[in-house]
Amino acid sequence: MKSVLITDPKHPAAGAVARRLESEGYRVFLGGDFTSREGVRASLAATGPVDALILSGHKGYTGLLSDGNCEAIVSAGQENIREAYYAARHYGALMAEQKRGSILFLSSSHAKKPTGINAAYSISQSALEMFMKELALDYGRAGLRVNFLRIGPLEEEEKAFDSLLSPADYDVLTKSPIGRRTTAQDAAGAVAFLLSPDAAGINGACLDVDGGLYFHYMDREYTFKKEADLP
Amino acid sequence: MSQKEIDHYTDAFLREAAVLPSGESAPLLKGRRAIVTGGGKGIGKGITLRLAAAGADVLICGWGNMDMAETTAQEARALGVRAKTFCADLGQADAAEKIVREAVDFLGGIDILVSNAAYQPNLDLEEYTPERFERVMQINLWSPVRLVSACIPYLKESGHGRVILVSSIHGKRPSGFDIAYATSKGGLQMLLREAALELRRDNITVNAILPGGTHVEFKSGETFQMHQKRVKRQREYARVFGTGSPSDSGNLAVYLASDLSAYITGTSIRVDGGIVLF
Repeated sequence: MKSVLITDPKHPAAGAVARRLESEGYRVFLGGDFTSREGVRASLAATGPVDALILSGHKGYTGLLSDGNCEAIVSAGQENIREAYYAARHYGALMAEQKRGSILFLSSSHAKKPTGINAAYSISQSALEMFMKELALDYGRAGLRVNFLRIGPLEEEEKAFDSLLSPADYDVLTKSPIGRRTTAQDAAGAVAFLLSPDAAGINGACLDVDGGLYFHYMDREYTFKKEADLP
Repeated sequence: MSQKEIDHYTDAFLREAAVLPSGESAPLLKGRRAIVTGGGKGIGKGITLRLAAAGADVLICGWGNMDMAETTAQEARALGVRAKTFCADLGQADAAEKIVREAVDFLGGIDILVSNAAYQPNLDLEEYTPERFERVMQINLWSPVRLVSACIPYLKESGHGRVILVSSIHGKRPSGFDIAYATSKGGLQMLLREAALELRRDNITVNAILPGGTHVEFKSGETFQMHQKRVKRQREYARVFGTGSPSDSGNLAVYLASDLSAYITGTSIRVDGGIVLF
């Protein structure tokens, strides 16, 4: 039986991805501590080697660079990179020994496009995109495939966009050529494809699953809204 | 024309680049106040001396190679500007605040931040310890985040604030020889965009320079073995693309720091002889 580990089960698409992979015969492991050597070793002891590793860390901090809370930005961003580093290094080394396996980053359009409000998240995801490319070069020689999903704003995150985020987030629907947000099922379908034999020739790739939202311009001022102004 | 001759004519040009309303010429960055991290050697030195030639006063931040930083400061002062060195370890969380405080004390404000310092151990994933990986992230990615954040009030006050992030072509494409370095530079590409977006209404521009192979003495944290590895790689690269000089990045930094580039923000420009064309 094939097995997969999804590192952060709190990712809004993690549930749909887990269900989809279970339906395809995977044994799914969810979560673990990937912030230290000891943590990742304990996780490895619990799961054993896996066929697929899905890195879904998505910590963030809502605030501007000019707010004076820089350490909160650094801390959240650091954590995303640290978790990916520990998990990819330890699980990846076991996959490389077996000369097969797949590592997939469950990331966001904000690996490529700024948020205007959550630099901790976007900076770490942009760093992880390059981390993925380096892994693809390195592990590719050992028979592994490493890829990256840039998922658009999820319907499941609708409430997140009703917070103090920028006004630009309100017109996601009008700016998306397909007229809707991405769904967790969209993300799960792309994950299933990239882990399948049909994607055997795909390594080091970034797949945008955002309905084409990426193409809209940065044509709005990004400002905090007051709670009272929110719909 | 030799590199020395090019540098000589560029310096002369920069000293008389801007024409004032009175018709007199003046240095392009006269009176502007700059911080250059890692500004004592390598690409940082190229940037420091070009900014100085264009009239900017400079605080040169270094760590571990302060003799070289002091020499660079002397060379900058010889160009007629104020220049001083400051020692700070960018691997420490409080370094950015200390640098900004020192800059404000010495320069009276900040118009230009050049975040240039970087640590490149040239190690593969298997060779990296978690601690060293973390240190690369701290110096190359999180310290620029802290520096930008700490400089914002002063850049706003300036009225023509400029942030220049010195990244690398490995912010655009993977290196194949240093996973942490490339990861950190990938993150810098987004700091560039977030800061450009947030600060555009304050007339602060944020841009990045992406050097390719550049002739430098040695890199921070480089052991002899790493140095040999890098020199061998650069020699192969140089056969086709040549090797850049620190002043190539310095010339671009002057442009990005000046009023000539006021409508340019959030962009990254490669200085690599054309090795990355996509």
